[in-house]
Amino acid sequence: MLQQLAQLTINGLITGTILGLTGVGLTLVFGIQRLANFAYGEYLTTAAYIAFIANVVFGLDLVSSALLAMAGGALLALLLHFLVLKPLRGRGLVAMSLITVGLGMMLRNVIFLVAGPQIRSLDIDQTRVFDLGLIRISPGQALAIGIAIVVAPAVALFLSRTTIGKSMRAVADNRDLAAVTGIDVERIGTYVWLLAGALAGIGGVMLAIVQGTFNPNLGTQILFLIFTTIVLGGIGNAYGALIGGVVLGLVMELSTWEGFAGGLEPRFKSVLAFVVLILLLLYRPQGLFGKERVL
Amino acid sequence: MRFNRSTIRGLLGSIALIATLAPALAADDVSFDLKYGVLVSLTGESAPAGQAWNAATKLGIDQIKASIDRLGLEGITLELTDSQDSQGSPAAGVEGAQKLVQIDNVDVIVGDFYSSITSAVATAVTMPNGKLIFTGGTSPALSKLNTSTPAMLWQPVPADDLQGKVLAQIIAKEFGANAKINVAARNDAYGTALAEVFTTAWKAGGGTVPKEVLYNPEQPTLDTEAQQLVDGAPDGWLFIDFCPTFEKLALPLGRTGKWDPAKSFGADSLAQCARQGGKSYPGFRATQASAAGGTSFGAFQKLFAEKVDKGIPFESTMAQPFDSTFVVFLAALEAKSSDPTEIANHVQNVTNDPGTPYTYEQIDDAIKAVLKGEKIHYMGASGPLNFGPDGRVNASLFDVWQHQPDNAPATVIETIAFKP
Repeated sequence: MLQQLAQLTINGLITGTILGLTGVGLTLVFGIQRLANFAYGEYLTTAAYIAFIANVVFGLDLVSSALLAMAGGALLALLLHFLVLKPLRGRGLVAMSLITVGLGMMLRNVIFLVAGPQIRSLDIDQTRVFDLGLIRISPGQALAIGIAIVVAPAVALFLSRTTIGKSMRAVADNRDLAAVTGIDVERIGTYVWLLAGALAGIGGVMLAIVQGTFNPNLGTQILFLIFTTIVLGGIGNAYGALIGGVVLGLVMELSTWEGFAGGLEPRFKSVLAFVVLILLLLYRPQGLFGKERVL
Repeated sequence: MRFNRSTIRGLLGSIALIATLAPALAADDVSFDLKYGVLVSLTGESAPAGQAWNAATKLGIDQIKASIDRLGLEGITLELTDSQDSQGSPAAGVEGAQKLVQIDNVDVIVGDFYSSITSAVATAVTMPNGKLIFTGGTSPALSKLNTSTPAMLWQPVPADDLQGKVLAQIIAKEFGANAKINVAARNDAYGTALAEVFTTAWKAGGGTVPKEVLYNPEQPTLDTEAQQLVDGAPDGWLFIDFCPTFEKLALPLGRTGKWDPAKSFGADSLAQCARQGGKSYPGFRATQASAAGGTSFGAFQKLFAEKVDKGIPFESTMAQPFDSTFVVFLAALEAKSSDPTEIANHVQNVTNDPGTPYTYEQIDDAIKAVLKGEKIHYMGASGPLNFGPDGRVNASLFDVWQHQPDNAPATVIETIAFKP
């Protein structure tokens, strides 16, 4: 039972880190651009395919491919911002959200058209196993953990120590106040798209590696969980998203542990995410780490 | 009365002319415009199969159109009006079907292979509007929607109540009737229904199911589910899923070190994952209604490879939408009408004995025979079909496919007759 607990913890941490990292990008975009970006899942998918082209078609190593995927994700986010989302700004939250739904469908279909519907995988041996006593992990999972160990603190440091990072948090927290203090809100808005795209890029690659295989629906499948993550962490709160993702990943996986009265059936894991979301919205709508706003 | 020689010659000439022109005259009598629509998951998790389904339907219609052109049947037109994307969702499916029926005015919808979508579409769109639907859905509940005759919903694929029992039969043959089998199924109408049929049949035969794991296919990872599936020291496993999700489950299963693909069986949709770009798991076996038993299956496979975009993976189940186009057309031809109810009245006629057998490769001869008023039996690329009055095929042959080493395409290792 202890072995099961250890394995579930690792599984939860891996899923949670992916949710957390991608959640940071989405929550900052929401905080700064006031936009719920439902096309975000497709940013992950596009990045996974960029990594696939670099890694499998051109034979680059996985790290270089992941970096290219991050760059590709950032570029895609920036392009869509300037070509579609910025010109349409001011249409209201609901209209803009619907536009991103359509944008996501369009992107998904373009990927289908270009890449085909086949199942793809990155060049990594998924059949090997590292037996570490209590836990067994694949090279893909190990790599995902490695990426998380490097990227998550780097993102946290970027947000807390750099001027741009601090400005991002400030704009996300209070756009008007940040503008009054001299922060160039427009420029920070552009940077946040770059960061969100890059994080979607690394998230897409991590998800592709951890799943082992992927197809053009990769990002769509996880989008709801990413949104749950940012609500859990407090909308607009980057640190909250990081921690919220890990908490959600752990809660979903550990809920199936037999030590908890036999454990929840796996099919109810996503239901549990819904329950968490509903309870939060009922009792703590600002999220675990968000500040209550008083008008 | 006396006839002179020139009168007799003239009379004989007229008779000969009439005899020569008779078939052409019969063909001229037949005139209809038949409109097909496709409804299938062109995007979504089953997009590979959806794209192939769409391509196979188009291929069938193209074959029939070519034959009509060759025979000079100018009064008959066939058209694939539109292909709508159900996105794997009943809501999107109903929306797509409404477009096909109410705007494009199609006579028949070929699709969807999701039972949940077919059920919603048949109930809300095709049946109320008197249109036909030829589904790839395998739920036994679908044919029960046919509450009056003729059936307007047709299932060219054997339903899961047969498949679940077939799986129990072949697994019992492998491990013995009392074996312990862990069951993994996607948590949707297809997975849960088939798992239930199997489990009931398996337990009735004396076997046990230590673990039944139903999982949400959209989970980012399925490692936890894999761990649970190796619990209980099972003798073997049964998986009910589609290839993309199965990949997510099979990789962590392999990492447990306790899973043996050679002791695993799968449902029909797992027969040929390597063709979809996925991995093959050597020794893994899956059942499928005997498409490969169709006499023209090989020719269909070759035709698909020649005519369809290389990026669209072939699956043997694609013989079913292909066959559906021929069945609909031949029934319409016999009915001399594209009215869906009239077509429905003739579906059984053209798919059952007695009747001269014709495959799609002999479509010219089949058309000529129907126009002459002869009884035919269309032998599908997927098998003899034999549609019953309830809209279901009465197939009793099932292929056992086996995954091969080095990601080579799966092969049929055995064809078994189901004994209820």
